[in-house]
Amino acid sequence: MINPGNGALCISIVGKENARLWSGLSDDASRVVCEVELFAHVSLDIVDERATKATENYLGQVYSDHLYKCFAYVSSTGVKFVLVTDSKSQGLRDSEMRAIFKKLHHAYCNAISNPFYVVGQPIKSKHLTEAAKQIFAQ
Amino acid sequence: MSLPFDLLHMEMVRYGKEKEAVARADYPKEVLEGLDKATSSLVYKALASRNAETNLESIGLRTGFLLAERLCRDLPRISTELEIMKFICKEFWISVFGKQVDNLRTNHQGVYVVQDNRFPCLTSFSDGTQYVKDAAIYLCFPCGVVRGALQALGIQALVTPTTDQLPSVKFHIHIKTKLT
Amino acid sequence: MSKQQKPVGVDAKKMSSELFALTYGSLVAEMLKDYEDPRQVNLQLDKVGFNMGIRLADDFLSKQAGVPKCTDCRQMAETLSKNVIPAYLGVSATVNNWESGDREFSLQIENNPLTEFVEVPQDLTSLHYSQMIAGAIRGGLEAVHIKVTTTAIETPTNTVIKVKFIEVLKDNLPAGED
Repeated sequence: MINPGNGALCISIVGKENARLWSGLSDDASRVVCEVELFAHVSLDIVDERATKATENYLGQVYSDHLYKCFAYVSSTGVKFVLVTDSKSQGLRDSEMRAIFKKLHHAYCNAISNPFYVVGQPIKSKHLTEAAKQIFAQ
Repeated sequence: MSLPFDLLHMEMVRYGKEKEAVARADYPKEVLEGLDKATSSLVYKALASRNAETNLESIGLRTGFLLAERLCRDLPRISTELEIMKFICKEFWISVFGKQVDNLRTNHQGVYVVQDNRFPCLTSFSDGTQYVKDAAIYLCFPCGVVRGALQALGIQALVTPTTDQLPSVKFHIHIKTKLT
Repeated sequence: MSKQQKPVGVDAKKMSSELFALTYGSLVAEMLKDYEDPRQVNLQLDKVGFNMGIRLADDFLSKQAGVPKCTDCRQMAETLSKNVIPAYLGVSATVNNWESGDREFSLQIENNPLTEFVEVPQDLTSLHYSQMIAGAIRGGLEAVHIKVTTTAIETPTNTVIKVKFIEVLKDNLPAGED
């Protein structure tokens, strides 16, 4: 059975040395928070590996199992953006995925530009909260 | 660079110097009494953990870090050391300083010399050698900006300026840790 | 070797504005490390702005030949909101909240480029983040012999600069002059 909607469950932003910077969950993920976050975390090794050989920032789908899929994007500055989706959902086209990561990267830049933000620390920002909200609602 | 920015930079230098002067006034006079001018000057610099130069460099560091993150977002992926240096000298320099650098040299062992013959932070001084010493402090913020941008891209480096004749400057970049 | 592209649509003015905003933000962050009390930072930002304002006044007057000399507060407020602020911040401001019989007013700046990315934390509500702008207005006006007090207040949607007219400064005659 294919679920409508994009199936996006969790967004995770990880900095250098795997510092957890930000994460956001959709309403659908509220029942499976731990599983989804663990899945995102486990995918990071693969993201690291793919990033070293990457010729562009968008890495596409990096990992999946019977329940979830993981898409990733790594900036030239080494910041990893990970999106976990439900493997049963309709999913998103490649161009839509790329647009999502561009939006997240944009929001991340605005969030860290807050003069009161200390680089490397977890981020609290309306820019990211708002961007995530729009992505989950797509 | 715009007039408001130049004025802000001037004020940052003034603020840094004033803070340093206030901090100096607190230094134990017994320690400094009896030292000759050169030695006491060195002692001042050693005691000042936050002198004007480090203050300005620190402001530059954060600024450069954020600017690099924003700028490389819309560019093709930058991975190698050479690509990073090219980015700094072209797109980054254009965005921050309004022009490309004039020359880039390297010894291929982690040392780069970036030369700018008309550096915007120095154009408000008269050309030539007269104000080289006074202008030096106006290079602290730019050094910080460059160091911050390199840091964002994964390179820890030491950035030091030398200037023989205004408004020309050379930035010496010594890379301490390379990318894997 | 891949060809390096030019930055897509690098807007020189936008970059210049971003550089200014980020530098200012880094300066505020640095000042907060130097002083425990945010109100001390407000004073420093005001001083920074004041010194900048004096020089900006020269620049403004040399470029804006058509601007009439201000004879009253209303005209002064008009010039600030329609000419001065747009010239240096790139955005316009609206004038409102006239008080004390036309001697006090507010300049409301909608899209203040300085605060675009700023989210002031709860424990720093006494910080007037845009006090540099307030200081610059005070300095600029003092350069044309108008003494005012100014304060910058941030609201969730905009920046408000409260301006209060004090007096017109006359040159002090040296002692002994008739």
